Amino acid sequence: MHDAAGNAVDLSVQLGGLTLKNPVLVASGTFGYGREFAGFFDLGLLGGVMVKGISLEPWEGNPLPRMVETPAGMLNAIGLQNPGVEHYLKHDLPFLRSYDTRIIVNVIGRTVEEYARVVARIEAEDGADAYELNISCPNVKEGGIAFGSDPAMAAQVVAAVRAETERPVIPKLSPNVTSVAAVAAACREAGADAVSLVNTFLAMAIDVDAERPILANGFGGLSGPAIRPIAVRMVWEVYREVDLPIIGMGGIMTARDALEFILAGASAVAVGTANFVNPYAAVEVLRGIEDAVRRRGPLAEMIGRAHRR
Amino acid sequence: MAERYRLEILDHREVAPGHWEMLLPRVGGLRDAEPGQFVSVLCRTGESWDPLLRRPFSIYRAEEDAFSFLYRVAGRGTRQLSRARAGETLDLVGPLGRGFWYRDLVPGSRVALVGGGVGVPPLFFLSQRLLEAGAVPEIYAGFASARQAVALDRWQRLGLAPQVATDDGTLGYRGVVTELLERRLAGEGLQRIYACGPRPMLREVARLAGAWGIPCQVAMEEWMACGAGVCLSCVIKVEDDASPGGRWMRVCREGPVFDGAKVVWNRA
Ligand SMILES: Cc1cc2nc3c(=O)[nH]c(=O)nc-3n(C[C@H](O)[C@H](O)[C@H](O)COP(=O)(O)OP(=O)(O)OC[C@H]3O[C@@H](n4cnc5c(N)ncnc54)[C@H](O)[C@@H]3O)c2cc1C
Ligand SMILES: Cc1cc2nc3c(=O)[nH]c(=O)nc-3n(C[C@H](O)[C@H](O)[C@H](O)COP(=O)(O)O)c2cc1C
Repeated sequence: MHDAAGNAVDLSVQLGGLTLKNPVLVASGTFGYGREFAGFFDLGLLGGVMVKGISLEPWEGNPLPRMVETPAGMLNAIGLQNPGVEHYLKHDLPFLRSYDTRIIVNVIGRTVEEYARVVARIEAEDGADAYELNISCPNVKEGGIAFGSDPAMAAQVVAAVRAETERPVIPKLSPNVTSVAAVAAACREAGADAVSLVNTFLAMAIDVDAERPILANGFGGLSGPAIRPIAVRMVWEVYREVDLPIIGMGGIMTARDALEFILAGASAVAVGTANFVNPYAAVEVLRGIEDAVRRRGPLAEMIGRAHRR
Repeated sequence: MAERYRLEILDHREVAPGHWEMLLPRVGGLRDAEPGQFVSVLCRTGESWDPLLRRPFSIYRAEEDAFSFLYRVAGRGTRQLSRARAGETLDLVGPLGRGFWYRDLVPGSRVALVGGGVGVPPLFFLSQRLLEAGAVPEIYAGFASARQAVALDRWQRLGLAPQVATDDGTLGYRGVVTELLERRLAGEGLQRIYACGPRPMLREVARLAGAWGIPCQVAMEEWMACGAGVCLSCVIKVEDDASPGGRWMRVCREGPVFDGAKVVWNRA
């Protein structure tokens, strides 16, 4: 990337052991395994792709309805439907590898051991540049959020995966806890390289005419602009209290939204629900950040700057 | 290939109470749109994020330089959309999904097009293509009442005479459109059925088609968030050779048109 005078603008960021060419990622579950968006833009523009959660065996997901729109947001209870790790390695990895972008594999499991086994399997095929551990999905009964709600459990998952790989390990934390910083601190102790903040907020919508929950699962996870201020606050807290790089997400629609996260302390950002609304959202966020760096100075200095003002 | 377009609204009018037709220029990849495919439309105005998600609408008419979709005001999104005026800009992504297949029909094939409510208009685009392919479409259209009857005049201009059913008997046959289809099935020579409409109607069409051994294609509808195939909100169970019990397929991607005999109609 170049500035107005033709000088290169450095957008690269360091997240523990992971170097990204720019800080813009796409959030797990909102971008599939990349294929569907490759028709809109060159995936190589992105700092990285966080793929849809992958389990050891295929997961069936939840019954329908799985989704409902809410004010400036949406609830989803997809239930982590995915074709399993072997399918990913065979069909999706070669495709993603054809782009110059980081592949961050989002890992899910019903047990601590399952997380470790998925990672071990992917390690054997060199199938990821980093691992994001989803210990925060509100839509599955086992695993998921159960691990992310408790600092000791979160640490166990991180430690088990840490034992399988040298690559960066990034637990994705749940916002549905009293202190997200406490969970982040436990993950750091267990060897995490960075944290992703945040997953969706446990929420609900009721059909007033039918007098029953709209989602078949009852509860769902709230995402989109509606959650952004809470997500920004959580990034702020973790940045202040824990010495660990942060990937910030939650309702980022525009570059200005992304800058909020960066100023609050995120080293990188992920665009999620916005991909549904505007297929070019991530690219537009990237252009806007590039522009801001050109006008305001180096990205590294912008990270967490709102704390120092 | 689907693209995002920002198009100037050519015309936007209420064609029946609570039913609007949106006419837009047919540019780029929209020229390749097939019947049964849809576009996904931003319904909000200005800088608000509410309603957040795009809304899917099937293509109704495809002329040389323009195309349209016809929608019913159903809630927040369509209510806002109905306030858009000609000359304003509409943000849409399309064409999306996999449409009806018809290129395999031999000229002279008799086919039935069965629609219900706002499922009727997408069959008009299909009938345009069927006529070009030399097939002989018979139209069966069901509505709640005469006031909601849309698209009929377009067919009349093509020289086709739709058979109409209304729930209240204010136009055509009093009853549901599948009863008209059932009567027709007792006759000879139908080679295929195409259907678009509410799920119970589609299910009944698929049942009748199965009973008479006639292939049938149904355009399914499920709530979707992305329309692009990634969110997995709009999946339905469909059988294939590898999965006799059915496996998840995305209405927005593998559909919305499916083989009616393969759809698993009972919900999990
Ligand atoms: C592929 C496809 C093609 C379509 N083509 C057409 C068309 O050509 N013309 C047309 O008029 N309509 C069409 N529809 C339906 C149309 O998309 C909806 O009517 C529209 O999205 C409603 O938006 P709204 O904001 O006005 O209503 P909302 O306020 O979103 O909802 C209106 C009503 O729909 C129900 N609803 C909303 N979301 C869901 C959900 N996730 N699951 C179940 N029910 C829900 C609610 O109960 C509510 O009462 C199509 C749908 C699909 C999937
Ligand atoms: C439809 C949908 C599916 C999701 N699937 C996953 C998933 O598989 N794994 C995961 O860690 N997060 C998943 N998420 C959460 C997002 O990655 C993200 O953390 C959250 O949506 C907040 O960001 P946003 O408001 O920008 O969407 C999903 C979100 C949505 C909307």
